[in-house]
Amino acid sequence: MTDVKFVLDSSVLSEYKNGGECVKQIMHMIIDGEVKAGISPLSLTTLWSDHEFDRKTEIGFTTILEFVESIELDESIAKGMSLYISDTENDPTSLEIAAVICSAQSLGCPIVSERVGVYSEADVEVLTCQGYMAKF
Amino acid sequence: MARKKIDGPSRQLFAKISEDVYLAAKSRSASRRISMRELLEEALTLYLGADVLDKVESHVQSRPISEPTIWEDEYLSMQADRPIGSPLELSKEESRNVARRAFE
Repeated sequence: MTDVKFVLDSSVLSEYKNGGECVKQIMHMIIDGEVKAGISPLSLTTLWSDHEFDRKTEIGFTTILEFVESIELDESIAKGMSLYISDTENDPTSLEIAAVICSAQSLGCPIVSERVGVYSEADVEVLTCQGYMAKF
Repeated sequence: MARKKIDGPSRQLFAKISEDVYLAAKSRSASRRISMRELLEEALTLYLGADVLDKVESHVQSRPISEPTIWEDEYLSMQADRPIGSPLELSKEESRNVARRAFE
């Protein structure tokens, strides 16, 4: 049984890097162990393949990952992802979106993202960092 | 371990010292999380006595206070110059500090 309260996607870490104030609050709660967040390995692929990704960014993200639970991409998640990537197969970020949706469904928790619009097809609750903080 | 920037005039010091003294000082600076320079300044100030201490304190107080970034830390600065994918070895507390401050 996991104690992950929500699944965050790459947009949250990207916004943390850019200095977003609300994202900072939620990330500091995660880093301080006040709340447990999960992340899909495919969100890491998105982050690590960004054209602005450099060594300092890697050091920052790597230390953050010490406090975030990596969600295993198991058979059921991998199969479930097919429902969300069939019509967007040329977009590599769709793999991350599909993995985030299925990871959240598998854990029965919401998604926290700074680009909620991309999850319009998801049968799962999706919140912005601000939305999550308001509920917290 | 964050190194404080030197503001104001400074002099470079070179001296060959006993390895035992050096290692003991290095160990103490690491345990107190201060640089060797700070440890030497503190030790020399204490040795020189109260008059000099007053002068040094007034000089130190006149320095502008600037919070060092994590990238001024010797280990992290060296790590930042390494290629992507290089291994990173930090304690949990060091990771927490870097995670909070890496993008400030």
